[in-house]
Amino acid sequence: MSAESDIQDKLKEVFGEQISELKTTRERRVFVKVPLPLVKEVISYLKQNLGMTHITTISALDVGEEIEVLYHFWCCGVTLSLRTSVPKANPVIDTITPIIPGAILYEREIQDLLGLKVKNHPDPRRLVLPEDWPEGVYPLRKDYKVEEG
Amino acid sequence: MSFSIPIGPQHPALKEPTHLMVTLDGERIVDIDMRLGYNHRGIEKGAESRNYIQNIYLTERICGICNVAHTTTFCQGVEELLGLEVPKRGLFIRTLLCELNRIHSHLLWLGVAGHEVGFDTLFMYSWRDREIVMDLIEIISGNRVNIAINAIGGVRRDISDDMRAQILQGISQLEARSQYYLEVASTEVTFVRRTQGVGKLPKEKAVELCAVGPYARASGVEYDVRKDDPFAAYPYLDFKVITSDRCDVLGTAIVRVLEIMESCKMCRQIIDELPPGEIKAKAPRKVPPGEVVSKTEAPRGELIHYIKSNGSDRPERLKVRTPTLADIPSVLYSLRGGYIADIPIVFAAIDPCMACMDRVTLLDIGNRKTGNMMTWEELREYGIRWYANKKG
Amino acid sequence: MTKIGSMFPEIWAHLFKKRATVLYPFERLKVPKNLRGKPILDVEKCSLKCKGLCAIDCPAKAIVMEKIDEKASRPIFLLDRCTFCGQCAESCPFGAITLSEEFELTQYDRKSLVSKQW
Repeated sequence: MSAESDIQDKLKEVFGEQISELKTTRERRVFVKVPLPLVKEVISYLKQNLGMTHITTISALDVGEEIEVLYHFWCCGVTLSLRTSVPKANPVIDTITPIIPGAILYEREIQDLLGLKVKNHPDPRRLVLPEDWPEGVYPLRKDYKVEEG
Repeated sequence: MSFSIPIGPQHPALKEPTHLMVTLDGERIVDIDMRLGYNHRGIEKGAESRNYIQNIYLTERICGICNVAHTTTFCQGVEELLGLEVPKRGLFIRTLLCELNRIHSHLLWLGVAGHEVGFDTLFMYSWRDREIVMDLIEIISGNRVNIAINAIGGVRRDISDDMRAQILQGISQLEARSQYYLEVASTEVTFVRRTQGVGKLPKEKAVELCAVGPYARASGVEYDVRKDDPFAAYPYLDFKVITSDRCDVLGTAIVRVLEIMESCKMCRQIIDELPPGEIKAKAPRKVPPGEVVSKTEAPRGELIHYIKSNGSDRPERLKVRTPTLADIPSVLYSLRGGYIADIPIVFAAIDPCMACMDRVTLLDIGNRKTGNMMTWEELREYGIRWYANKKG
Repeated sequence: MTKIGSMFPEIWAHLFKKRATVLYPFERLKVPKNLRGKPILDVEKCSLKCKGLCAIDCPAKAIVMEKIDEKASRPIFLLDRCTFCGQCAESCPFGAITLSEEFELTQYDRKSLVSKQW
């Protein structure tokens, strides 16, 4: 029983049909897709029952009508990437800092560069862009074009 | 009564621009806040308009000191997307350069730490010894910084037999010198008194705030990507993960010097066990659609690249998270309650690399509304006008 | 057990040793054989017909292809943009570009750094 199949079995057991696209691409890499309302519950489960304490980063990317958010955790010897989709028309997610305080700066970064609104974030200021950057302009979205210098 | 003073973005004590807003009560720090983003350069967005080969050189320039770690992570990720197997000799040479890069980065840190506490002699001597490593890197790859040894599919240059002899000689010298620096760092009163008990970070807080790298290992957190999630040739190497339970800045100094010695042993093992064969596998230009998470241990900690490909020869998305960003919440926690005079050394304990951390700034030259931007001529005229006005 | 002045013996010994600094440009260091310096084009080997793979792969856009006739073009190197990475030498399918050991390339204006080697 490898660590990867262990995690997959436990997640399937607890969350069953609600999670999808559970796959192991190679050793120590597991991907899973979770619907948006279930994200905090899955992360709490990982922390309390599987002893996960370390979040590596939060990546977000623009896939047209939606924004995909990936949480990369280090859990039981495996890098587990949790994927969720947020509609671009209403890009709101809830913060996970009450569960994992170390995620505070990563949430600020996706808020700044991709326009995701993180509800109840303890410190929702800009992270990398300057203060006088215009509102509503998100550099990492696909419709923001860079001119050649 | 407390008041706040700003430190930075331009400040003699900081090597790279950051802005710290420190709230003081006498000499003690009550609260501290940090503003990042001064070195943001547009790399993640720039990577989407360059092909994979050009992106190797772009990711290398995220940081000058940990450049090998960035190219290793990127090339590893693209090789996984392509399903390409790198020949064993290529993996060993890649690992050798990762370790030489780690030695050079830790010696650089030792000098900078000595400089921040006012011990410039240590700075000068450790940087002189760093020249041994820089010369070895130049012999192998042709350049001292931004060495571009990695290519998709392996490495670009091979190690000949007389290079092996020179490398082994350089490593023996480095081992003797790092033994000497270990004694200096742990017994020299001027260094110890400035770093012992300063910037304390207890183990539970380091775990809660997700710290990485030698900074977390100095608080007893045993997390090293080389052991826990091995990449390149690390599964074949025999080494220890160095931790310390001191939880202060002196702990980080000792962990880093011991890591130099451990890296020297690893380099020796790599040279002795270097297998014969090819160094590079041929890689196609177009990458099939997929996504990959690639992790390595940079000199500063855990580095992750997330790459998503869409079937063309350019990536769809490249996301980079460098170790300095992960350590920022922990260092802000450890600075509270300390003295203002300790800010440079405690901040230097995470080995900050602002260039790595910020990564993306976008200068919109066409649209002048974004911020105060001037061309060179405008800046000159502004300066002349300012001085003319001042003179009256 | 701490002591003071632990680096003094080392500093004293170095008063009698050779200086570590090299007084460039009065003393020159020997550069290693594989140093990545200025790119040199072998005009015979450049096939003129490969659509400029060197220019496509250059990360700094430091190679400009100049048309010689309808189908053929040859590279011109812009040395002020070049990062001396050597990718052009690897991408060239005919091996027409090599990197020499020449690294002292400074000039006072950018136009003198356009290297047209044919």
